Amino acid sequence: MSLVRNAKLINRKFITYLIPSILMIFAMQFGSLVDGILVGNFIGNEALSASSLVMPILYVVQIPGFALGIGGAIVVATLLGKRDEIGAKKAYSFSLIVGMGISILFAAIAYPISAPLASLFSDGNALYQQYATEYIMMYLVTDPIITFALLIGSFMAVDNNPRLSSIFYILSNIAKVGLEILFIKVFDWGMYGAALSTGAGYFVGLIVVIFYFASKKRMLKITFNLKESSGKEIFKATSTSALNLLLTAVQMLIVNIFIGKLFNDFDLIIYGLISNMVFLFDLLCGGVLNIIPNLCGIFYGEKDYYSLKSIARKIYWINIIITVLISLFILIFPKAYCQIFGFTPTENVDYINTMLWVYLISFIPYEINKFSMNYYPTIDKNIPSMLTVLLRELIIVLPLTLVLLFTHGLLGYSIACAVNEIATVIIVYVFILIYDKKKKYKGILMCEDIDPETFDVSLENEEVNASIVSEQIIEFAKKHNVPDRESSIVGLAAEEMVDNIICYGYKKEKRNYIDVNMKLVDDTLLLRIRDDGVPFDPTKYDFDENENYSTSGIKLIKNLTDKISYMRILNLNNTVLEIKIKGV
Amino acid sequence: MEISIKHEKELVVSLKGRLDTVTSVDFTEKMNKEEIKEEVVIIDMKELEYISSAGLRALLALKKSLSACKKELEIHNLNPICQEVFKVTGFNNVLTVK
Repeated sequence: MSLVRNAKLINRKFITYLIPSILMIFAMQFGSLVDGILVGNFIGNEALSASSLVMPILYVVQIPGFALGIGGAIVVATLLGKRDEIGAKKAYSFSLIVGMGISILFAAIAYPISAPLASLFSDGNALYQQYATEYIMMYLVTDPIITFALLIGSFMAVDNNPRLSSIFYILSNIAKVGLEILFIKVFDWGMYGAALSTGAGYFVGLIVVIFYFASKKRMLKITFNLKESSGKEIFKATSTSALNLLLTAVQMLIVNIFIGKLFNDFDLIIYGLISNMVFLFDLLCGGVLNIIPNLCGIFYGEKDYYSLKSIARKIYWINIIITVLISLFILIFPKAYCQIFGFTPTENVDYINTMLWVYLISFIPYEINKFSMNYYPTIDKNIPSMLTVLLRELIIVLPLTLVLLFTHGLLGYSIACAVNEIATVIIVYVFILIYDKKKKYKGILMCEDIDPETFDVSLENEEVNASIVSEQIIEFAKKHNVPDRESSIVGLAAEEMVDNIICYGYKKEKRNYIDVNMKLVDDTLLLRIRDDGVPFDPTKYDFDENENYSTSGIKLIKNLTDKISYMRILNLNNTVLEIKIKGV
Repeated sequence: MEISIKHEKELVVSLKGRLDTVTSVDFTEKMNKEEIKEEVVIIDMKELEYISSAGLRALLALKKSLSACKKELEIHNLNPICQEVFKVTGFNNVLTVK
């Protein structure tokens, strides 16, 4: 029986990361949605407009938390994949310190800067000016808490605690809604209360962080020794998200000014309806995309391109399927979609439907572009992601939207959105194909070729497989001119590790999978065993040094191999055994 | 794994291939079924390429059962890798290796 590689083990991890991630994004989007409803209902429509107008400022304020959270998590995941635990701790600490430093600076300048910033959006209206000033000021003051929460939430997920991260965001957003009602309705704190509720909600959520800090699975701990702390890599990985937030803010600012001037009241309502589609798609697809840095980052660091491609393809297609389903729902039931947002179309129904359908065209390419913006920085290919951001947030979108807004009004806006997304996908993919040929990458996932000189299989937890994998590894090693002694030792190490996992690793008798990978790097054989059994660190396995003899397989391989390293990554045991080839 | 048994002055058990997780079970079963009248049992490992901890445990179990009947177990002709396995596990001290 010949063993082959499959994705069954990592697929289980995909599900355990996917569900918390979807719930987390759902909670965050829900928090934002309810925020708007509460402000509009309890303070007034002017307050809601003011909070919407200052949104570009909030995007910029969120950069240290959101962008560094994503960038930092990518670098930490990659370093963990490379088994560089110290490097991962430094990257984690660096991201936290820089993020907190910037957010404290924002808080420090909150008082002098809020009123001038608010005046940019209030167009001389005193009430707007007051609301916007209060909102910006309180958001800036609480930015250190928000930034810390966003950063720690990202790191919790990558550090073996995706569920805790999800609970943290859900609790924070529930607390935010409760506190917002309290602050606005009971304490009558108005816009201060609305803005304060975000930071206060995350402050409540920090209770969950205590559990994370106490978690035995936690690897990331603060260090102030930041020498060689991957700062450059973090900024590189952060740049796409940061540029995206910044350009979205600029684009929103410019386009909103013209929309306000050009659209009549009816078109403004329809504009609100179609704009909210983004929220709906992000609500359902955002959680899927959100797991890219955690899972793909680690597999990229491990150079496990099989797992990387498998997970990336899944994320890509799941997102497209969700997008098609939502699009079909809106296409078939446009009236129901409008009613979700409290609007019942009674006149110009055909016009409304046309607007919805034209705007819908943009969403499949929109999700593909979102994938590009998340995936390529994770695999250290920043050019396609930056190109995507620059094209769809600046170069194509601005001139196209402004021209079509003037020539065709709301229909022009919808067409511009669709053309922008489609053109971005085409240009970026053409670029990738050219770049692939130059760098010898394969396909749109831009992966290096799976090394044919690598032994890579997955096996079920049956004892016979311990023997089979050992035989196949020895045969593979001998075929690649590895001396008999080292070939036998690597085969022995595989059998002992796999047998140990099968005998002691699983609490329940069910079908489980173990990934075994072996390759020759310079003069060293690297054998990696990955399983989802109970945590077991063979480096900490104790045995009596003074005993006359031992039948322990783990002791045997500890004595025969040159180095064993272990890490609990993605809640999987990852053991790497190194065997140096003597005389090479 | 191939197991051939010859009843001579001693009982000579020749092993060929691998003594691992799977084959050690066959080895133990075969030895349990064998009627051993000889005083000494020799395991000839000349053609045994590979032995894992499961194989070692099978040999140890055999040694214990033979000792109970006051019989001896000898291991002959270990190849270099099997010798190394015996050495690092201390089996060269427990079993009679020749």
